[in-house]
Amino acid sequence: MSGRPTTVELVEPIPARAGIGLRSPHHEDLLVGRPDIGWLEAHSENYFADGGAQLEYLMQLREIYPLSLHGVGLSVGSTDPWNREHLRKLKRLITRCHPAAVSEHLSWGSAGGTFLNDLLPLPYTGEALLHMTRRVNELQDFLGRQVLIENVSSYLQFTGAELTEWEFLNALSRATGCGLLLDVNNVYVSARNHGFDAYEYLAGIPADAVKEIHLAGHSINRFEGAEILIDTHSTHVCDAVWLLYRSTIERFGPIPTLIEWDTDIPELDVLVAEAHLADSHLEQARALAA
Amino acid sequence: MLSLHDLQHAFVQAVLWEDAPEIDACILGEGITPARRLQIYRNNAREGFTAALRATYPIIERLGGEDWFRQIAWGYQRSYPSASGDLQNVGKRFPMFLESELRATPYAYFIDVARLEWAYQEVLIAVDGTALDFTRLQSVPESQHAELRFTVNPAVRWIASRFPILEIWKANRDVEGDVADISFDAGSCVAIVRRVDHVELREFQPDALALLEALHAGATLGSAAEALGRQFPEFNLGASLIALAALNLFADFSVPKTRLETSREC
Repeated sequence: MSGRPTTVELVEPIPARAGIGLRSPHHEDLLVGRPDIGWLEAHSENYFADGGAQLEYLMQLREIYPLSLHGVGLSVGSTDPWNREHLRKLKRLITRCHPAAVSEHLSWGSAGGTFLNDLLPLPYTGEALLHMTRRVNELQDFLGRQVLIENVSSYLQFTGAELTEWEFLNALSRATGCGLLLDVNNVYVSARNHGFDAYEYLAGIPADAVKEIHLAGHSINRFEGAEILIDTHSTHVCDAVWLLYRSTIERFGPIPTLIEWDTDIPELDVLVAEAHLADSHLEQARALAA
Repeated sequence: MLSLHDLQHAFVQAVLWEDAPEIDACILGEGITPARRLQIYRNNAREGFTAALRATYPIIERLGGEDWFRQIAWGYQRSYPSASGDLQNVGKRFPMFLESELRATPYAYFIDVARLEWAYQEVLIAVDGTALDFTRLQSVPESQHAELRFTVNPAVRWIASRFPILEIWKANRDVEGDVADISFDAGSCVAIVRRVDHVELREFQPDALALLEALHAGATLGSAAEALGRQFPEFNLGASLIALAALNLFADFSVPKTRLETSREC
């Protein structure tokens, strides 16, 4: 019943260091400056082109840094049939650039062929778990490799939920053999939005399943007198998320950590500095464990 | 609780068209109403789609203004919602949508500017192609020139318009320009060509455009020249072919097999 990767790839793994998201404004600076960062993560869909400069940049940067491919548009949890063209392009991209890791989300994004191009929350029900298990198994079989599944920020919960999100992820990883991409900012945002304990969430995640961590910034909005955190990826990681991250790596050990900054993108040196902050936390965690 | 299938369909319906009241009962309120929570996802969907459209159509946004663009993008999204998880294709039908909205207005020129911007987008991501070395044609006997067929470079597009779209493009490419200074007396034919490190837009003559279209459709050089000679009284095949060759629009050519070569294969 358990899924497993069937293709062995001799690809250098992502190091247990901090990396940054690859964004087109930084292509040239990365090639020329070659900053000291552990790895790069690209949004898969941004490099689905048949040719052109964007793809050429990715191939050149792949020669310099280990690469992870992070998809945002596959709509894994949707009850729609797979978008075969999307799968074909993803597989082609993997063949082209040999990433050390491939990831997607515990979410869905389409119904009836209409896409909202967002990471929409699943109801944590037995039905959804069976469906997501089948989909992740199909995806890993098609790609011939393990896929990492990331938790998303959410702004609502469904009334019919039967599991917590961490119980759902735990069951999914055991049933499929998928890895987990633990977005610590998303855990924090969802915990604040829905009133659960972020540390209880971390305690419920199987330690050996976590292969990658994401860190990002968020914004705080007020609606109808209530506060809600929005996962904007538009600013620095806040102190509370750094604290939660520290607990995360003390529990799970040093794990490749990505700084995500997707909107209001700053200069490259700002991202690199944020990555070095994460590196310092990783080094301190290693020292404590020694 | 709805089934997963029904829940997802109702969710999309509620977000895009606010037309699925059954979803409210499936969402926990707790401080913020289900409707307000869905509004967050509506904002996300709208902002993501609009940002992708803006990235493809920066000139249309400059021409119409940010507020107008935001409204037209929402109308477009609800009429032609995204059909893919890859946002790079969301703008494909935008020129068609603009035609339905602006055809009979003073802003009809937006339609062809949008066609030019979409062509630019397609050229950016097209498969790589190599430019034809025209000196290879010297090896083809002149008696066979009329039977030549040409393959157009895949990273090439062209637009013919009754509006001065290339001038409008240039005036608004990097900053907001004033179309009042541009003469609308004549149209333009524009080739969009991807070079090694940039995309080039060049204007060329209507008869050269017609030659390009005929060759791309599979016509032989001879049949294209004959048809265009009737359509354009002053058509000069050599000059038009040189103009197209100078833009590196072709990737390859083919010559018909001779009767002798064909019989040897039987």
